[in-house]
Amino acid sequence: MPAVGEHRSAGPEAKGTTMASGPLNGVRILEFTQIIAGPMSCQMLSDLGAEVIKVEPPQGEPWRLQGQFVPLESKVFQALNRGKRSLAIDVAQPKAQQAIHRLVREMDVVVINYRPDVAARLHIDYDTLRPLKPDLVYVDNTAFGRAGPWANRPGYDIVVQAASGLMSSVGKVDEKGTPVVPPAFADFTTAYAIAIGTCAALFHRAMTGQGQQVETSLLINALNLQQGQVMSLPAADAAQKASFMEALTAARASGTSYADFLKQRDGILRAGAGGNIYYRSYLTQDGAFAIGALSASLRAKVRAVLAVEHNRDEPGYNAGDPEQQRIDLALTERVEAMIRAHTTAYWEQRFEQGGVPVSPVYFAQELETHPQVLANDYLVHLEHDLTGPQTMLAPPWKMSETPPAAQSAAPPLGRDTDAILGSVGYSADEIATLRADGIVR
Amino acid sequence: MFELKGRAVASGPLDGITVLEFTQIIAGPIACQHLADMGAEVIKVEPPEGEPWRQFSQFMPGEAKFFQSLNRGKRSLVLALQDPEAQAIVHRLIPQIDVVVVNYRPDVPARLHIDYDTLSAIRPDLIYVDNTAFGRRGPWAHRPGYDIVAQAVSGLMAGEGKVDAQGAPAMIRSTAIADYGTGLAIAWGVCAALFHRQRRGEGQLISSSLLHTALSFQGAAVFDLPAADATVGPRMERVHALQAQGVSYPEVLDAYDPTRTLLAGNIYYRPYATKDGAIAIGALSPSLWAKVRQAVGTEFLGIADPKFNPMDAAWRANASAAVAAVETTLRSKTTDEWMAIFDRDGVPAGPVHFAEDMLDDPQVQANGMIVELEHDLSGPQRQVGPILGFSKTPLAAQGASPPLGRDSDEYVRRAGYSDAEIAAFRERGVIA
Repeated sequence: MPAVGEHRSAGPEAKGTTMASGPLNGVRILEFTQIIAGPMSCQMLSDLGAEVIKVEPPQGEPWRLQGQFVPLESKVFQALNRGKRSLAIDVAQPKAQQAIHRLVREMDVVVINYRPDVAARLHIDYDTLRPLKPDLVYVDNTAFGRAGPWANRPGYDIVVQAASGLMSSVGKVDEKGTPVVPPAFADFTTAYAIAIGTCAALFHRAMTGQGQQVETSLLINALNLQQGQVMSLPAADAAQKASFMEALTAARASGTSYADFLKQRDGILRAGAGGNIYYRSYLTQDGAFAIGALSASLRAKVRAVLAVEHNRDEPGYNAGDPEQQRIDLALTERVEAMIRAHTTAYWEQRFEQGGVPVSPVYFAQELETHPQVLANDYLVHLEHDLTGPQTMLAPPWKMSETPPAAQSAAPPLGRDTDAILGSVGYSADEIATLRADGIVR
Repeated sequence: MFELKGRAVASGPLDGITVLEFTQIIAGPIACQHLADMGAEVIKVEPPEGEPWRQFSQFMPGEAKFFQSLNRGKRSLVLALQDPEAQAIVHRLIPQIDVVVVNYRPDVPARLHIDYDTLSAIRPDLIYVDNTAFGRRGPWAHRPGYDIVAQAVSGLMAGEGKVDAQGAPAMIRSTAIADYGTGLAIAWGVCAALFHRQRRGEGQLISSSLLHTALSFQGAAVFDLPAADATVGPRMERVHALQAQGVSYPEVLDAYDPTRTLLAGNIYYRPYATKDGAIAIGALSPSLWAKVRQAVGTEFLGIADPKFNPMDAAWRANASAAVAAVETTLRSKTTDEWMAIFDRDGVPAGPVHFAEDMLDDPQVQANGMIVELEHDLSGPQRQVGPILGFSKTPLAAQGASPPLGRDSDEYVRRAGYSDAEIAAFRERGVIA
C-alpha cells in the first residue's frame, strides 16, 4: 500500500519535488532526529530517492530556531533537511503515538537520535515498533552508545569531540590556553555511518526479508576518525605511548594546565614534526597554499621545484635525531622564506608543473563559482516554498543508473502533516481536532 | 577455502559479497575496511613494493601502524598492474567479483585496463566505485590530490580559521577529514548500489571525490540562499578585495570571519580551561542555555540576549568582560568538580580527553567499541571496532591487516591459473 508515497508527486504540498531517481526510490523513512547528524543522514537518504518524513515537535526542531531569518526558518536547518516532508506532531502525547504507530506500518526505516531512555518513554522504541512492522529497519543513534556510565548523558558534537580525543588531537589553544573547537566532524561522520547502516540493512532485507536494529554513536565515529592514535599495537608503540600515558597521569595529578601539557605531548608524540617541508601549508607574498607530498617520489618533486637538497628519503634518515632536527628546521626556515618571496599563483603554477599536489587556501563561499565545482555539477538549484531560490551542494556521489538527486528544498514546519495523517486514514475532522488540541501543527 | 588466521566467521549484512580494491593511503582503504567489517570479502590489490602507506613510518619491513589501522580483515593480492599478464589475471577474477573500488587519477584505470567500460563488459552487473581527488572533469581533474590539498581547495582549511605563529594557515590535523569522510561515502554508495542490484539486477558506476565530500561537510557555507544571505555578498567582496591587494592571510581571515578572534559572547558552546585541564560545554537550545547559566552562576545572557550584537563595539566590550568572568569561574574548579555540577544540572559537557586514553575508557569499553586482533607478523593489537551495531547481522573486524601478498597464490588460482603458471608469474615479478 504505497499510500504515503502517492502524496509525494501528487499534492501541491510537494512543490518543487522531482521524480525520485536514486537507488532508494520507493523506500520510506520516518525520521526522529534534530540538529546535524540525523538530519544530514536522512537528507542523504532522500538524495538517494527515499521518501523521508521528518517528525518535528509543533514548535519546530531546535535547528529551525538557530539563527532564524524568517520565523521557523534558518539557513543551517535548510542546509540539512532538503527533500523531506514535515510532520509536526507532539510525540509526547498518546494520541500522537497512536498516529505514529499507524504510520510505522507503512514505513521501511525509522531513524532515531535520542538519549537511550527516551524512545521507550515515547513508545517509539524498536521493541514497540517491530511487532507493527516485523521487517522494519530501525537505526538508533546516540551520543555515547546505549551502555556504560555516559549512556544517558546529553551529548552534542563539541562534547563528543572533547570526550573522544578529537579536540586535543587538534592540539591548539587560544591565547588564554583554552582548547579550540574543530568543525562538527563527529556529527558529519555519524551522518554517513547512519546512511551506510541503513543501506546495508536494506540490502540484507532485500536478500532475506529480515529487518533489524542498527546502532551507532557520535563517540564511535569520532574514535574511528583517529584509529591510528587510539589503536594499541604493542609491536609498534614501543615506549612512546607508555611514556605519553605516564606523562599524562603525572600532569593530571599535578594540575598541569592543558596548554602546558600539550607542549609535553608534542615533545613525546610528535618529535621531528617541526622540520616537515612536504605536507603542510605555506604563507606566500599574497596569501597561502598547501602542498601534500606523501611518497618518496612526490617528495623528490617538491625538492626539484624548490631546488633544495634534503636527505629525507636516504637510508638512515632519522627524524628523531637532534642533529637531523637541526638540519630539518634550518631547511624549513629557508623554504618558508623562499615561498614568502613570491605569490600564490606563482607557486601554484610551479608546483602544478612539477607534479606536486597543491592548492591555494580557498574559502568555502568562493567554491560556488570555482570552475572545478561547476565542471563536475557539484551544485544544485532549488526553490524553497517560503524563502525562494537557493543553490546548494549536490549529493556527494554520482551513480550511472540510479542518479541521486536533491529532491526539493527543506519543508516549512508541518507542511505535510495533513497529507501524511490523511494517508493513514485520519479524516479531516480528526486532524482538525488533533490540531485544536495542540497535538499536531 | 583458505583459512584466514584470526578471521571471525563473516556475519555482517554484506556476507557473501566480494570486493576488489585498487586503492591506497586513507580514503579507499578505510572505505573497504568498512565493507570488510560488514562481512564482505575484500581483496586488496597492491604493487610488489606494497602500497605507500605500508612504507610510511614502518616499524618493521612493509608494516606501518597507519596501514594496519586501515586495512584490517582484508586479503592481499600483489600484482604488477602495468604488466598485461597481471591485467589478464584481474579480468579472469572479475566474474567472481561484485564490487570494484578504484582510487586513481582519472586517466589511470583505462591505461591499466581496469576501467569501468572494460570490466563491466566482463561482468555486466558489476558495481564499480571510481573515487578521485577533484572529480573526473574540470581544470583540476588530472591534478594529484591528498587530504591536505582537498582541505585547502574545499574551504575547510580557511573555514577552520586558525593560523600558526607566522600567520600561515593551520591545517585540520586531528584527522584527515576529507579522506575519512570519503571512505564513509564510498562504503555507503556500495551498500545503496548493492540494494539496487538486488532489486533490479543492475550494476553501475559510482563516482565520488575528496573535494565533494569536503564540500558536503560545509553544507551551510557552500549554500547560496539569497533570502538569508544579506551579509555574505559584501563580506566576500571585502575578502576578495583584500586578496587582490595581497594583504596577509590573517588579515583576510579577519575580514572573512570578523568574530574569529573573540568568542563573541558565546559562553554556551565552547571549551574552557579548568583548574587541572579542560572541559567542553555543548548547549544549543534556550533551555540548555539557562542550565549553563545556573551551573556556572552567571547572569550574562550572551547569544541568548535579544540585543546580542557582536558587530557593536560597546556590546562586544561588555561581552568580553562577562565572558572573561565566566572563564575565571571555570578555572576555579577541577574538571571532575565541574563534571559533577554539569551532570547535576543537565548540561551537556565532557572533559577534553586524548585519543590514546580512549582504549581503556569505561564508556568505550561498555559499548564494545574496541576490538582485539592478532596480526600475522606483528602480534596482538587493539583498535576501534566497526562503527555500526546490527542486531541480526552483527558486524565484526574480520582479522588484522594482511602481510603484503599473503593471499596472492590463492586468488590467482581462483582465477583459474595452474600452479606452474603461478610459479612462472612469480618468477617474472607479475605477482609477488
